[in-house]
Amino acid sequence: MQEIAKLVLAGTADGGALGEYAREYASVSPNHDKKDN
Amino acid sequence: MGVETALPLLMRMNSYSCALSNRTMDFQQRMFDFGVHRADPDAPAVPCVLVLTRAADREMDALSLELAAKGVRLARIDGDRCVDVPVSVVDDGRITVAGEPFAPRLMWLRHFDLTAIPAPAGHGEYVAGQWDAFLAWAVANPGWRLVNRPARELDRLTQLDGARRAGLTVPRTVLTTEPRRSLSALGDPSGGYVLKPLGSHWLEPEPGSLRSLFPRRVSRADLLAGGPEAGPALVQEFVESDHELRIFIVGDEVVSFRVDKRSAEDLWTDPESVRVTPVEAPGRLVAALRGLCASWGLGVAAFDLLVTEDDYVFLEVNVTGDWLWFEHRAGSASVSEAVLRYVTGAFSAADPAFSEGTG
Repeated sequence: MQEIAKLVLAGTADGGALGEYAREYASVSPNHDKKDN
Repeated sequence: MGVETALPLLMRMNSYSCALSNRTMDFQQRMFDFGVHRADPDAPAVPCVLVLTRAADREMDALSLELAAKGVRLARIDGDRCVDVPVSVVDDGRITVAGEPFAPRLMWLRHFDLTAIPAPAGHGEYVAGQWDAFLAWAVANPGWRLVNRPARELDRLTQLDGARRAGLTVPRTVLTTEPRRSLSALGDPSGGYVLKPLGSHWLEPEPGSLRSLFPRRVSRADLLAGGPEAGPALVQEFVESDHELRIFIVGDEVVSFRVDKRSAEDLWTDPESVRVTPVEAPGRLVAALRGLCASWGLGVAAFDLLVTEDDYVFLEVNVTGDWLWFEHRAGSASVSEAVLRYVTGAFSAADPAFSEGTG
């Protein structure tokens, strides 16, 4: 898991479900629509 | 109109709503989906950081990924997913989440809201009551070091009282079920008044559907027109200011942003209009906020303050505040980096066997 996490952080995780996750993770921009309390 | 039927003024003046998905983006949880990681219920308990929140907590998604890269496990129970994720606690302090035994070294209660739980029809009161009791037990468990005191133990009146005692200026405030009665205590300030909730800034009438309770600027006429209400709210004097400060205290570190906005709800309703700029907060102010964090038991806190012509005015501290949006607007990653250092450090201190880099 540790090595895969490093790939995702480095933006070099590609292919298959992991690559799809990495792209989705990177595409979600932060917003404030949350319980900021 | 009687108390039973009158819609509280704060609800009448709020119309913003949003939906929060319960689809997890948490890296360590998604590893199960990918088959990279498999739970073994008979394996020794894995030391971890335990987070109680909801799926839309992007700050914890990022932390999960960063911690994974350092070899630190993050176990997560989301309020909006908890009915589908098996959880068991053994009386030696282990907790099994989704079939995997963990030994929490650090616990962070964030957005695990009872209102977010998608309980089966007819079981809502039971499910919410049981999870509420679980939360009470979890935060009182002496074996789990807490990042923060629970937000519900630090309501806004308690915050204002503590800030005042720490020497900070706070707005004159009345808690009341009859907003019109606040007028005699607050006088007739030139800028009018601010109405805000004592509790959360959000209602969640259905799991995943949120409705705002943002602070609203109101006039004397607004307050006079309202009658008694069924629940108490805060009425404050409106304080004229030049801008706001959002100051994050993360352990020993401080990250400050200047926030320029036209109204409180701009953060949600018109976020592109809000300017967020990294700034240096004055030492005297930071010292006071550090003192508050120490007395309130907060390891990670987000303070909101007004900057007036000659003073700083404490508004509130957000115990479960977010930071990614502020960083995004400011082009900074300072808070995320500080949180990662804080959590990694606290985990290491509680788990001497952990050596960063080796996993």
